[in-house]
Amino acid sequence: MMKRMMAALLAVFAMFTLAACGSAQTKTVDAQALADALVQGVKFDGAMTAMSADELRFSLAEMPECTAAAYKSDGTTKEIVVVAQCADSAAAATMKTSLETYLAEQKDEAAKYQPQELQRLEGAVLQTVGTCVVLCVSADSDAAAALIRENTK
Amino acid sequence: MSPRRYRGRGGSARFAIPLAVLALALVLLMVNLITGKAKPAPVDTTPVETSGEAESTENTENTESGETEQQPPVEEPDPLVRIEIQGDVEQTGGIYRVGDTGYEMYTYVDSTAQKYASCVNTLADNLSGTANVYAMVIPLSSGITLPDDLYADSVFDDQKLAQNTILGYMNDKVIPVPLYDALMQHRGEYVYYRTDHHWSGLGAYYAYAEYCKAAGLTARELSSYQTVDFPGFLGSFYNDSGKNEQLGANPDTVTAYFPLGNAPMTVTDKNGNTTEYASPIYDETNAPAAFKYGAYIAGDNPFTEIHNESLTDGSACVVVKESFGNAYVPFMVDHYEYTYVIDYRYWHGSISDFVRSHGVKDVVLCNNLSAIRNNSLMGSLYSVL
Repeated sequence: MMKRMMAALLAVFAMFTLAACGSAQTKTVDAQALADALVQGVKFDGAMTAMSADELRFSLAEMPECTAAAYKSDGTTKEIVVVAQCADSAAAATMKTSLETYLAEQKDEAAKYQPQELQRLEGAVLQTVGTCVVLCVSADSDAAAALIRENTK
Repeated sequence: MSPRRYRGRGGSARFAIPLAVLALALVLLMVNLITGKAKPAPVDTTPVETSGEAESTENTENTESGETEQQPPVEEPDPLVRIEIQGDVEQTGGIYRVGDTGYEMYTYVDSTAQKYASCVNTLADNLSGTANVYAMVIPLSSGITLPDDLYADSVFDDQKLAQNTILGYMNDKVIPVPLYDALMQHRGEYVYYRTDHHWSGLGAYYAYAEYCKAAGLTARELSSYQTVDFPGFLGSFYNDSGKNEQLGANPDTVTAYFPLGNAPMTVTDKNGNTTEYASPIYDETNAPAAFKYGAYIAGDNPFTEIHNESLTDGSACVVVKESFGNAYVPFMVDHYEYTYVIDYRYWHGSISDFVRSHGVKDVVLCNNLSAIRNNSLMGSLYSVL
């Protein structure tokens, strides 16, 4: 009797565990909503305007299958927000690599022409949450990181 | 076991192996067909690396269609002047120092080059019938004045090949202005700075001369310009090398060339404020050593307008540039009543709309090879077409 009860309890426990795993794997982020939240909730020194999908595609070494939203500074700073909800983990990995390349290119440019922006770029927040990749270069990296955590729970 | 059953079993065994082989072949054929129709590989953005062998390097890049593009074999440049290695050789990050001279290491990236060409082609298509669109791809000093024996070093891709490949991607509405050979003919002259990644005013002059050939203009003689020198220039290579002593011991001199006529300049800054200057040549006499290059059009401004008051024909050109264009712009002023300068990294708007609304007849894309391998800059260029 005890063994049967234990087995039943374990089965129920396993069922809940599997359900939790499944929900984490399928959780997606509203890319536009998160991008908007970052632009509105985090301090930026430059005026941020939305980037078109084509401009974002041109700006990145590779653009995998994803739903993306992005904002860019007016050129006075190197600030940028990119939120990309990718199709799968492979696409997310590709997107992260592209954003890393983007940051490296921005640092190279900043070293020549806007050295005051190097510190800001060094503090960039680049995170992958599930299959969502977020890049935020702003005036307040801590606030950006906290807002990303809050919106991707 | 009945004989009939025994014979049947032996008979089926004879055909079993061939049937199995046929089935396996069919499976393999189906697999091949399926993988052959697979989605094309994404564009390979791995920077092209050469073996360093100038005569035998072969570069390949996957295009978006999945096909492999074969670049023509590298031809070793045949300069009139041979440049010898003088001093020690050291690499610091992206800078290659030879004695008192720095060079920017360069690798060609075909995917980004195609993006650049796509932008130029789009602009030319937009302005077809309205304005001429010229494209000049500016080599770096590492492609022109690098000591000959170092060209085999694998850190430097062939910049003539890069230029030709990029210009080869342009459509027939774009007028190419190749610069590599012209600069190589003058590589023994002071056409690039030693302590900075830019070309000098003299290097920009030779580019201007090539533009004039392409545009059917008569270039002014170099000796006809009034000039001013700003010595003591220590640029990006000096700073990025950790203020190398050898670079610091031999600073550059910025020589600026004045347009013939009176040509006041109006600069619009990043905040939209305008500042008036008497000339496109800015006095950097008292500027810190790192800022002397600002003598050319007072630096990297989003938008600049230069009005040649000795011309009244309404002629106008637009130079779309990064900072290499700064040294080039003053030479254009003598040929157009209005010279407009757009630094696409900081300007916002539409070049096409601007050209139409300002009666511009000539648009010059004045872009250096380092910028053309930068995806983020290509995004900026795309955003202002």
